[in-house]
Amino acid sequence: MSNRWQISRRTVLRGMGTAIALPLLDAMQPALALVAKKSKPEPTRMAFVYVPNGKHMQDWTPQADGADFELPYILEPLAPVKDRLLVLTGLAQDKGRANGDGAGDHARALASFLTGAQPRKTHGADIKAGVSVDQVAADRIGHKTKFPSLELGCDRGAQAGNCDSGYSCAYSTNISWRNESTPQAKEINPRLAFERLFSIGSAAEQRTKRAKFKKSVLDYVLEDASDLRARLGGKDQRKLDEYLTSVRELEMRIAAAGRETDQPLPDYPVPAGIPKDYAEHIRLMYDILTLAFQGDLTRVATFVVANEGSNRAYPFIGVPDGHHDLSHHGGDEEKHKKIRTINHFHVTQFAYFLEKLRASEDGSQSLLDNSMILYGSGLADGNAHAHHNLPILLAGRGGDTIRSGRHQRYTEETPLNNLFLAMLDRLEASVEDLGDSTGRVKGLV
Amino acid sequence: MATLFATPATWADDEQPAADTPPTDQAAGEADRAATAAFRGDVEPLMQRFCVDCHSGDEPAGEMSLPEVLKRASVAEDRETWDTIARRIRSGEMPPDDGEQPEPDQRDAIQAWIDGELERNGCGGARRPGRVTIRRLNRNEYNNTVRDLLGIDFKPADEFPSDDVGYGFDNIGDVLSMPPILLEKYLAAAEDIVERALGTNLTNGIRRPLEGGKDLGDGLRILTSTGEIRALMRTRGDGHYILRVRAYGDQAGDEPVRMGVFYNGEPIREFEVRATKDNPERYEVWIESTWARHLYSIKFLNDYYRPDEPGPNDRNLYVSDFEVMGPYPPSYKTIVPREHTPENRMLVAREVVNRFMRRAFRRPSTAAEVDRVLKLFSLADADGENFANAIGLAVQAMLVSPHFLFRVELDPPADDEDAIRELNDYEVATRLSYFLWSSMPDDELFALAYEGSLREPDNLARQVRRMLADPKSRALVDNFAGQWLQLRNLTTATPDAGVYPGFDDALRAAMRTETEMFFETILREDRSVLEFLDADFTFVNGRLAKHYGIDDIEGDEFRRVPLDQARRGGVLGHASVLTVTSNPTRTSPVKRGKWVLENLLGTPPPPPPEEVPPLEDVQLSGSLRQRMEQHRDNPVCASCHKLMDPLGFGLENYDGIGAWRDKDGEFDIDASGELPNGQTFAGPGELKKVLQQRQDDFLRCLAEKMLTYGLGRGVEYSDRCTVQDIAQAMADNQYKFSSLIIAVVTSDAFLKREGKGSSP
Repeated sequence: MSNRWQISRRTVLRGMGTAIALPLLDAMQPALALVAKKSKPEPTRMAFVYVPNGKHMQDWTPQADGADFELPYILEPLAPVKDRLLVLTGLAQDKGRANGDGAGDHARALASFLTGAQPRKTHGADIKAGVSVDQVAADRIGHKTKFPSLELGCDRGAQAGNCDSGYSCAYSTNISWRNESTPQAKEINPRLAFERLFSIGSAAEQRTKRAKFKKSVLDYVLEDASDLRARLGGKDQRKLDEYLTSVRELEMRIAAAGRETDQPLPDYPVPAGIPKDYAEHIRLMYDILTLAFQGDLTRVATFVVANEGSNRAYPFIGVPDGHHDLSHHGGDEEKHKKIRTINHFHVTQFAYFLEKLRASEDGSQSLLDNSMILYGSGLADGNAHAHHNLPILLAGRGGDTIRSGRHQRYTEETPLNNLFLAMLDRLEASVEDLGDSTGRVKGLV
Repeated sequence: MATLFATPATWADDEQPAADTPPTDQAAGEADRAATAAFRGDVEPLMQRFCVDCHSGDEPAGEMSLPEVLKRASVAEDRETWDTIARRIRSGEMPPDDGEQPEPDQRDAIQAWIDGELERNGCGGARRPGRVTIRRLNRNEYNNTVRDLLGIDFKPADEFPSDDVGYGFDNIGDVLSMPPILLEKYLAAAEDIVERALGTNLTNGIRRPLEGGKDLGDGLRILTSTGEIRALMRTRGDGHYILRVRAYGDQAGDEPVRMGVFYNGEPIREFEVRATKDNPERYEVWIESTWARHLYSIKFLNDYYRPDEPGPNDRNLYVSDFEVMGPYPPSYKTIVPREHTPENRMLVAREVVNRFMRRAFRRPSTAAEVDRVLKLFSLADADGENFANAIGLAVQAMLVSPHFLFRVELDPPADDEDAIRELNDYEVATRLSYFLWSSMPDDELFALAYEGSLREPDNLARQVRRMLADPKSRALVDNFAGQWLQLRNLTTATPDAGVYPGFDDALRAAMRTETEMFFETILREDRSVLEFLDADFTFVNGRLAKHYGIDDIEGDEFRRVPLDQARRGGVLGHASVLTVTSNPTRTSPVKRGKWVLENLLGTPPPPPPEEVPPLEDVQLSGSLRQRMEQHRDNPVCASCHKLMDPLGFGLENYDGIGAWRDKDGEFDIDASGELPNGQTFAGPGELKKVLQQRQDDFLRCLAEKMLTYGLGRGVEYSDRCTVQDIAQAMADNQYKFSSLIIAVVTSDAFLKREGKGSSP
């Protein structure tokens, strides 16, 4: 199903004298160390993985606190990386609650998850959430890598109909918000994500010329758009602003790319497209995330495993019902069982990812040690649409700044955004506050 | 009869007078005073008694707080609220079953006053057109526009991230955003498109070494006297080829060097080569060639050699970089309509850019804009790129310009912020074509716009008919029907294989085709839109026929079949709709009921309360229907579920993938239902009759949906009269489909625009 790169082509790349034409295999470690671009410690990476419709919390929250805790059923697949894991209990996202806006918990859960902002209730006019923590980081450290951030997913946006009680589908589809009114679109096709990261393309000389022309095109549209923007009215100007921002970002990337050496192709078969098998789709995206971090193509990423409110069926694990339907269990034991089966499935894929990160050497440690991967949901119990005591995991040691292997309990209603502030610190992208934060969490060390 | 137009959030944001403002009776008019008096005497006391207890305080029920509204007693001022109240009372939702109920005559009194006031404060005045936020092309529109602009049909937008949906559609200006990843994709797509349309990546070049003349090294040859430089080449396909060569001369005598280009010995072009060594020129000749070997030659036509005279006395021709490239795609000549010479190179480039820009930007261009793009042409040209490649760069730029990617409509001038302006012909042409074709205007529309006659009402109607008849109106099927009827959700529907073993992709595809063909037939045959509710025909292939229990239909081809309307007919009998409104393992009467309310009647149920209370003493046995009846036990649940559930029960004869059934497991199907106003029905045939009695609601619902899709913005309360106009237009024209479209297109909302100062 996937096609392998011709060996001869890669050999040609190596032969072209590019300094780091070596895939990052463990066996190549000594060679890599010699030509390592970075002589300083490896950078910290940050990623957010989102799963929808809450969890069966009874099988999620460990009984004991501290270092000596048992992994409940849903978290069992994480046993091999338990020592790199923090289970966090007690965090809340208050802005996911109605706070006077009535129904719409799914839309709010996703829109508030990384923003800590109350999304405006609208079918379409004046969409507004808040800037998300990943984009805050991208703004500050994004210029250090080829891509300021990466947005991945498995579900397209909603295809038709209404999504959640008066909220535009944009809210339940997007987790990353560039600014309060611009969501960052996700790439859901593994092949396109791969090609974009590794710019599969022509020879270097052609690229330079194309880059020069591309830059001139961007200069042209910048002028054109600024001109147009001046003649437009309020909301239209904001749309043009989105356009202008995107153009400027691309210009910076092209300029940066011009200064870099050729990006080595990883030793990984190019994905053919979107697999039919959901588990495979998820794993492909995790692989791409791993590759992106390994190659330092970005240090900030989000992955929405399924859109909030997803009614996907899971027949391949014996659950033919829709996920969202099930999450409204009404106390039904059968439904509880099915929900935790789905939860367990998702954690299994997450464990696959963490093990890959752990097996990947990054300087003197593992990539997992140098990362902070947050996994969770904006809802706790899906039936009650609870926005407190959220199921949150923090994997990785953030470059030796996190004391892992514990179950950390916070006082109820501690804002999730307080955790984000602490994470941003570790990325050297600190901010004073974000959304509804009230300070930085303690208890990570 | 009135319908709900906006979500609670809108009127919650509405400016209402502060709570301590003393009530004022409405100023003018005997009628106003009489109405208010009647209210205070007959109606207000009743509403105080039956309504205010729940609908007041800090957390009024359903977010509707009545005390201020009653104080003001003005339907004109609080029209939206009164609309909602009227609707809830008429349907029997309010007061809820556990509350004190008014006597019939009391209920009538309240109803009569409100209806009378709504009528009195009706749609007499001008229509507000509203304002659409600038809309970028969505994926389908982008693909179609590329197809029509350049004459190539490949779909670059399939690789773009999905468009966000609002108000049920993916073409809403406010919702469509422009993240960096999308701009990246636009750039890449523009490169791709240019390669395909202009053949800039042709490797089919023929650059064989030349014979003849004298080789001076580095591919340069000189002809010192009459002679020819020739190449025998095989070209690899029939079509349009371009021969290119660089040339300069040693100039002497009283005429410039003349160079002839010959094809198989026949002269095809002659050039004056005025260039000299410091500045060689580039020459192009177009040749229609075939798959065969051909002889291309360059001849020096006017040798001149006067060794005895002083000064430049020897004329020679130098030639290099000889190539023949092709075949170029047909779209090349669409974009570059004629050849150029070194002398008129810039002129032709300007012409090409201007032509392309007018169509790409969907309006006449200005000299300044053309100049700006020409800079890119010059950049590439100066870099040594050939004409095609240089034009290619200019085209790329235009394809990522906001004038291409967005449909631009400027607001009325800034000094008159509340102004309403008429859209100009080009803007209307663009709205029309994206509405009916999801693509750019065609030559006929552009011609009318150029003449300035598009907006004459006769012309508009005529164009609508022409455009509906055009195959490109298929876009309405794909994009409007696909979203209104939620056919797109069929792609991700996952009926459980255990419960529905017969379901597979062939059936999935057949279901979708049925509904699409049905919609398309109503469009093309200009049939009554009421047939969406009930019709005596549909389309099936062998597979679907078997699914429906229709005999004697074999094969993959779809054909029209008559129907027994008690069993099928209309969209509610389509397996597509029935599948997307089911759960993977069973039917969902609630989802189906909600679907009918939202998409056919335009009266969506209010959202569920924040914490759906768990059912007490849950009874998990019994038929699905019996279990659902428990919704009625809790009056809070019942107030909405008594609207939705009965409609869904009426469809219970259709299983989760739309097949007819008389039993569900061991239980007989009970497809009867009772609506809150007492109406009863049994089975889909009778349910459809009930819906037909609410024909006005259906027409308004369809009008709303079509208006949303056509405008690219949500329909607001201020549009209610426009919606009413459209519904009326259908009623006046035997409900023909074209009357719906024409009414939308001739409405003020479609033809005009409000200024930025006004709120939407």
